[in-house]
Amino acid sequence: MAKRAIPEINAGSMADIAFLLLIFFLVTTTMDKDTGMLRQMSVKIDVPDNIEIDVRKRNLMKIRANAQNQIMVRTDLTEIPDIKEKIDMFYRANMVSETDGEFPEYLPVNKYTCDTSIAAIDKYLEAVEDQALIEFKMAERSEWEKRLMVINTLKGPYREMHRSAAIQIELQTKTHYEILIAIMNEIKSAINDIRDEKAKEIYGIPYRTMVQKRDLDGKGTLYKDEIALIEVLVPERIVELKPADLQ
Amino acid sequence: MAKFKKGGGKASPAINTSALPDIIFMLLFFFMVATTSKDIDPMVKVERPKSTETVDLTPFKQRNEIDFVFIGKPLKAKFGDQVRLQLDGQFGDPETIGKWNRVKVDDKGAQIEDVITCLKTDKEVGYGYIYKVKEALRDVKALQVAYGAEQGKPKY
Repeated sequence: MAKRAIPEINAGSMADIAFLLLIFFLVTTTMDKDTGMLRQMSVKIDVPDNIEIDVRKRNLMKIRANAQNQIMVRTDLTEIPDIKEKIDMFYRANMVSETDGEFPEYLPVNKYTCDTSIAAIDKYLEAVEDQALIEFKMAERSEWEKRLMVINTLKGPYREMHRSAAIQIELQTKTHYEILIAIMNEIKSAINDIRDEKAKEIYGIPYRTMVQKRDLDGKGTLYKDEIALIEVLVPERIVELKPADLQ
Repeated sequence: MAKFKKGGGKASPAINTSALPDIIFMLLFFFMVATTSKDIDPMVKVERPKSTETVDLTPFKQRNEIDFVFIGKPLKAKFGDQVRLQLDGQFGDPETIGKWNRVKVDDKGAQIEDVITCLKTDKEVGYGYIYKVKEALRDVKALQVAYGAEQGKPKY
């Protein structure tokens, strides 16, 4: 049989099909990435009256903003870009050695203090039955376990910021969300800078990079212990207070 | 002297368009990779504030560990000019978000501790409203919250 040439398939409409698909994707998708700032809220518990909470002025960094977007850090009227420096000072003032009585004190933590504290909590828990109190104490116990882990990893004691040291944010009901984010941004960038430094010192890789890699990891177990350690060393305690003028 | 051809010239050759589909497919693949599907049509106006310390939420979204809530003024005037919550395709209030959150989490079969609630808030919403929403979430033990913000340098 004579060999016949196979007729060429007309591919002229291929482009139209591709266009159709393209336009479908253009319409159903969006370009902007979902980004945000993660915040862990605290569990709501009724703190029993007999537990003493030691809050001294030096351990508090109170940031307030009103509806006119004026910001006060401690007792000074401040512009937003200057908050970062103040937070940095708050963390670093006494980090290496006790020098400034205006900022949080750092206490040495060693294996002995951890062990005795855990033992004391265990003993206390045996006698209590109130569920709220047990939860409160269990949270405290896990904090001590984390500290113990840090000591084991670092193979020695470390200096820790006072346990009640915290940054408080107090806004009014009409303060714009934008201001909250701007303040949060300053606080986070100050803390993350310090964490980056610590992480580089210990592991040779910045904290931000570790977090990024962990989030991309499917199981979320990558750098888990490393991140936990850095977060104990440089704690992020941000408390958002109830607006005073909220009904 | 050169002679010019007049009239009855050759028809211009057809342009080869066989590479056109390839070009379009390239564009198509680019858009498929660079964009994410939008699953909810916003009913409230949300203009996000900027921040440099944001976390990319896409991995959480892919793992189905995040719920989105929109907070802002309704886009359509007939829904009033008060700040509202948008829970999926419905308007809601701080009083109803707790229940909505529970249903969402139960549908996924996840633990409420593992699920993040992302508050995509308009930058002009007052903090009082956000505080109420957060308290409602705290009541149902949904403790992980993400403040929606765009990556970029803040205005201030």
